[in-house]
Amino acid sequence: MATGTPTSPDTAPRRESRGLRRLWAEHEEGVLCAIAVVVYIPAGVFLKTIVLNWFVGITFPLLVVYFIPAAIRRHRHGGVPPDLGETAR
Amino acid sequence: MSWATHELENYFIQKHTKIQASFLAIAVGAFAPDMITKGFVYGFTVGDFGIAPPDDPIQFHRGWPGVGFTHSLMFGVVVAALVLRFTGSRSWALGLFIGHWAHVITDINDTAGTMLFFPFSTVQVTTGMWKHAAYTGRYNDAAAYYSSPGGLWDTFWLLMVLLFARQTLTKRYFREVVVPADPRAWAWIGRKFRLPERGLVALYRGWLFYGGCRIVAWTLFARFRTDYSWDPSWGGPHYIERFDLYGGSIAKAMASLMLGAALFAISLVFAWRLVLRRWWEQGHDPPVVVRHGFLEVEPVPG
Repeated sequence: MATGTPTSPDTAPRRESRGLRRLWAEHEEGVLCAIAVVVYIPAGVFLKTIVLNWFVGITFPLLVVYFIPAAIRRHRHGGVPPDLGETAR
Repeated sequence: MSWATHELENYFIQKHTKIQASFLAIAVGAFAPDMITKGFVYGFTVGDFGIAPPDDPIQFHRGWPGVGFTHSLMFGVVVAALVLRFTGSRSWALGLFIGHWAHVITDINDTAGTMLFFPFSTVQVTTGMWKHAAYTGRYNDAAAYYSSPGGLWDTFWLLMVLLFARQTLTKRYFREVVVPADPRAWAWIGRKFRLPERGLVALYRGWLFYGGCRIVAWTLFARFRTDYSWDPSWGGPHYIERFDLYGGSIAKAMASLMLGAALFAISLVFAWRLVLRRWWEQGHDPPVVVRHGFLEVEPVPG
């Protein structure tokens, strides 16, 4: 016999989605850093001159960890700049 | 030369010096000796314009005549002193000085060595741990370096940062140590490129990212895309020819180095007493800031 509050068929996927979002929010920067490493190293092996230089090397995590997520958020929010923390005064 | 150590040692130095030295200045100081010279060592082309590598790249890079003076201790002192005189920023002068000396001292490990006590001695100091292979061109130089103890040296520094200076990579350390040591520069970058803290932290961590990734990328290149074999023995790789810049006897070299070191120390004492102390006293520490925001740089009133 079933007990407790009746649930709609889509409750479980929603809960799962919320869990994934929380997990993503907690580890977003780490995951993006790992993606940056996984992209940068093979690119560096095959495109040495373009990729393995100090300018691209130092700014690449900035691109992957900040600029690309910011652009995606902006696109999702219809051009409104995302709030990713305090800006410099 | 070291390929990745110059990026990695910045974090270690920042943590262990316990003085308010700008991280950006340490990074620029660590780049400084190679900043203008390295491109000419390998030669380069931009469109129709090209610069051929010099006849003797090692002599050009580390010797005299050449631009080897950029790899001397005195060059770091002069650059830091000029920055102190014209900007008054102690944290930038200290950072440049520390970063530059770290680069120069690290580079004694290759077979070309550095003229530590130039202009008082033009003898290169070297431990000869790995071959300086710049004359083979950039890609072969990288392959030779990552086939030698140089690759292990870079990996050692990567591990040192990850094991013993790990907290320098945290947001909290960035906010509480790195920014207060150089609030104006970080605030300027933040304003100029519209970067919030997250972007600035990503940029700050960029040096570690670049250092770590280039170790792996160049090692993979050396192992799988060239026929260079791995030779981590002292002075390796042994299939690369060694060129020594100094051709005299060891006794003569030692005498020149001792005289050079003594004259260098005396000149530093004189420079400190004549001008450097005055410039230091006239200089300023980073401003104490009102913490309305993480990068607020307004000085405390009164």
